[in-house]
Amino acid sequence: MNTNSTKPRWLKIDWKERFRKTPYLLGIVIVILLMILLGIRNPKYLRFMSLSVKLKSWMPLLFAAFGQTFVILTGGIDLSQGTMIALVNVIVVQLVMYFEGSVQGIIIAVSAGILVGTAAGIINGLLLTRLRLQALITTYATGVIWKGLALAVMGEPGGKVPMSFYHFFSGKFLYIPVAVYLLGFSILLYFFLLKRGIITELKAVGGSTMAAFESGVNVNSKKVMAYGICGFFTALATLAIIGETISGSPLAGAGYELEAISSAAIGGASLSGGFGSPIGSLFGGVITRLINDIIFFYGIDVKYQQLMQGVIIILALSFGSLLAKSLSRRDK
Amino acid sequence: MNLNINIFSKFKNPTVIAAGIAVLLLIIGEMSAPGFASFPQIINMLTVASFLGIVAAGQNLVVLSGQGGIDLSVGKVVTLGAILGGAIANGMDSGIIVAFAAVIMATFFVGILNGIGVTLIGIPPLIMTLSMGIVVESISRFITGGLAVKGATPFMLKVVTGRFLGIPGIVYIWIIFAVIFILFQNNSRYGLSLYTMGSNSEAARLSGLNVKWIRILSYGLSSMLAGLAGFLYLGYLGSIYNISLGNKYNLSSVVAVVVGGVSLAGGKGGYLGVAVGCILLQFLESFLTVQSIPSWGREIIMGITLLVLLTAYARETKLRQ
Repeated sequence: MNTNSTKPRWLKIDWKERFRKTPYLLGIVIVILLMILLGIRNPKYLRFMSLSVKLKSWMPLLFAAFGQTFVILTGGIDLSQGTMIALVNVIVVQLVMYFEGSVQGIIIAVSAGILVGTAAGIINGLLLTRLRLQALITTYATGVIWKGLALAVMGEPGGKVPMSFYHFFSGKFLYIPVAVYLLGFSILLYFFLLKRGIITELKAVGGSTMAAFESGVNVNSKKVMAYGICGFFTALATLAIIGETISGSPLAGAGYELEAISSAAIGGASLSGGFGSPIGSLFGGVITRLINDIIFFYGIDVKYQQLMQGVIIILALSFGSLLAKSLSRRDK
Repeated sequence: MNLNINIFSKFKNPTVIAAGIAVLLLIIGEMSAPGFASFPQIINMLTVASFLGIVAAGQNLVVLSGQGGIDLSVGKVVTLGAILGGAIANGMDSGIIVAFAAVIMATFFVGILNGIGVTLIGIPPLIMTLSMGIVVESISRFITGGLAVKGATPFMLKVVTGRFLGIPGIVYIWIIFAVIFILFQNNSRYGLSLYTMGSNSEAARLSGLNVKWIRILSYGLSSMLAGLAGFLYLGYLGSIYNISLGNKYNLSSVVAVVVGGVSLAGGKGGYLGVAVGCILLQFLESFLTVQSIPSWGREIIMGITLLVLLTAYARETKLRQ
């Protein structure tokens, strides 16, 4: 007791315990470090204006990673996310063009997009649970189907969305960028689900499906819900992409599923399920994007960019895994 | 009565189902487009399938090792194998041995790194191998410098595409490879250990198997076989213009493994089924190409077929039993 009271306050905190309870704490630390690195090289980068522009361009990945995490928590994976983005993208753009860019038309198109995304997610979940299939390979198969459907709706990149769409996404409301509101809405939704105990149930399903089942959790409906939520956020990611590109493409979103999954892993989610947080994945997504910027601002030759990116991701993952190992060792 | 049950269990065997569907595809294909099931056409399809067959063998090992084992770097490693081999051999037969050895060693090394990341550091296999794929692709890009690699030597071309009795060399290579590989899987110490630890890793470790080393070796072999496939692919194509050449093998090798009856949970399924799975996938792809269906329709049919195949036999057990 005596020695404790003489120690400064920050030493009293059990950091190991802290890390274990908040899986994204490490993510926050890395984000701050990367921000400092960028700030040293280019102080303008940290200005509010430039950061809000950046945030807007990160939105698609952040939404995708956020949604993907719900699935990962249940021990699943959604490989169809990339082509789901393509499907929602072409449907929204075609509808907007069909209604000739009128405001009502845009509202209908956006709602339809969100519905399609959520429905696609629920279909994934239903196939997995009703037919008892493996997530990895099933979502790969549905991903192929989404791609076919997207190509059926729009054969090649094209179409045009009114500039109002772009202005809305890059606009501000009460001095705060719209992107921040959207992120805030997602985080609120997460806390709502957390308060209702749904997140805990999702983690229980991922941690031990059998134990969750035996303690009365409706495992199947929880899984379907997770995939539905993933589809919903994938649709939001698509809207953010359209806000950037203001055109349609059946190839939009290629590779997003993998970036989203690795963002979730960097953000502290366990890919075998049961551990992690969608908020951590947001930090994971920011880290993924910041690494690209660091490579750019530190003037690394374009030739080495991809190599650096890969090596940094592997190092970040190794660090995270080793840390997680050393934390769990104390339990035994 | 007993006989009936035996016949029924034969039909439940994934290899038999996959082979049955492959034959069915040939028959329907022949009816709708005469010549689909002709001998040269079948040989063409087998030729294309043989590269996937060699890649899928490695994937088979990694999936068997269990604990979510999967190697999604194989696609990029195939490209690396082709490009590295081409760059070293540079079209001359004298350099072929050096090129072959370099490809095998480099790709084995990549796989060992994957294995170390997965077992010793504890990175999830899916993410580890995908990230490794990024690194491997950038290395391939270094080697080419953005230019086409024209490196197949006359000997390679002759071995891979040269025909004996109307069948190209690569098909013979695949058959010999398959026989050796199946023997290796079922008789070698390593192969048997793989099945043991795939079904229960902890039990295997407690009974004295060096589980970590076996897993690392599986990743190494998987990558090495992908490199070998890439080297042979170079002999098939003659030159490499496209850095994304091998990407399709990433997921199609996984699909072939699952269609062939290997459990993604590990410990179950052998190479015979996987080889049939590769043939089935190729038949399906050619079948959909021959039917004059627009590309989007082909994608949808491909996806639905996969789901049907999965439902047919890759189902998990019920929670309530």
